[in-house]
Amino acid sequence: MHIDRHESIRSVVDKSLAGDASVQEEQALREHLLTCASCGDYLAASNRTISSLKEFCFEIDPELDGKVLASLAARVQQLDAEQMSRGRLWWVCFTALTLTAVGSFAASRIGILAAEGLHLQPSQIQAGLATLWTVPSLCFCLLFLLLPVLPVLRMNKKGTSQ
Amino acid sequence: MLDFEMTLAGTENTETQQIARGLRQRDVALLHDLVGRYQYRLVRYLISLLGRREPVDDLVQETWLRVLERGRSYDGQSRFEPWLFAIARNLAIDTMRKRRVFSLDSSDGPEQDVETHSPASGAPSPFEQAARTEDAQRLAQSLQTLEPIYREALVLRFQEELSLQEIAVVVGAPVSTVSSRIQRGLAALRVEMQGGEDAH
Repeated sequence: MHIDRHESIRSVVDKSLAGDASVQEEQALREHLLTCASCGDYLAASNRTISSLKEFCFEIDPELDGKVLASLAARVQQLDAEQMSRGRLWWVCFTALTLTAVGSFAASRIGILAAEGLHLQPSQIQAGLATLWTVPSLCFCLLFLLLPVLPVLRMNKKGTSQ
Repeated sequence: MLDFEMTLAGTENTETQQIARGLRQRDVALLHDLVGRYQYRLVRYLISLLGRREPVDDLVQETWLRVLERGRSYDGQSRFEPWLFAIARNLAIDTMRKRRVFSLDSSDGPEQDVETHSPASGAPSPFEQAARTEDAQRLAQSLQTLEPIYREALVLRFQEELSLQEIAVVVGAPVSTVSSRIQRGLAALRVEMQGGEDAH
């Protein structure tokens, strides 16, 4: 029974050092340690182990900081440039879409006027406009939208093929 | 006392939020500062995780690049160190898996699929090289042979002084598992230390 008590207290020591003991367990541990030298020794041995663990001192390559900072600076520049060109591409795409919308609207109005003059059905003119103007323009805009995604797709493909 | 703790927590919170803001803006000055502050700890963690020195410098560089690229995912609500170590850990595992030399998957049982790698025969381990005191020298050998998951838990708890919850975030395991790894690891090292002392 007495041995069991010591074993359970030692497991509380381990839990306490791991940072996992409850307030009650910590209290019981403190009380037990006041009267038990062998559990005190166990705690002392554990603390010595932890202190030794903290005493490891690794040497670091003195050039490592410089290498890391240089690669970070290069990557920041690269990311900024990518972001800028992506931003530019979005603006181009936005402008192209706006021009397509405005141009299609203007062409449709002119088409209606022309249909009246040429005695044609407005629906025929609008179908022609949609086929020859609006749809190709929208496809062109979509191509712009896809451009920023293409490098990512290419990288993914490369990644899966490796 | 409570006021002091609240002020301290507030300061820490402001600092992590500054880091999060700087990472979102890709602030080079902040990155320099972070490298200065955390480089040694990152190296120490990776050596302890891998038990070897040679892939560490490359992994450190990759980790910082990943910090820069994924900076937006750090929310500044928790400390920076667990986030940094989690990135380093994932990179280390990926790299070692590609080389087919190492597995540290938390989904595996602690005893499964984990290999311990000693440096080339005759060469001192990174721990032997890093031991400055007699006790540390005694520990070096057992650290090298200790399974990486236990070594990692010990290092994060006692060298990096992370809480159990923070370690759980880094290693992607429940707090109870982390606690048990620390206790087992500590028990293994303590036996080694006491054995060494008895022999003297």
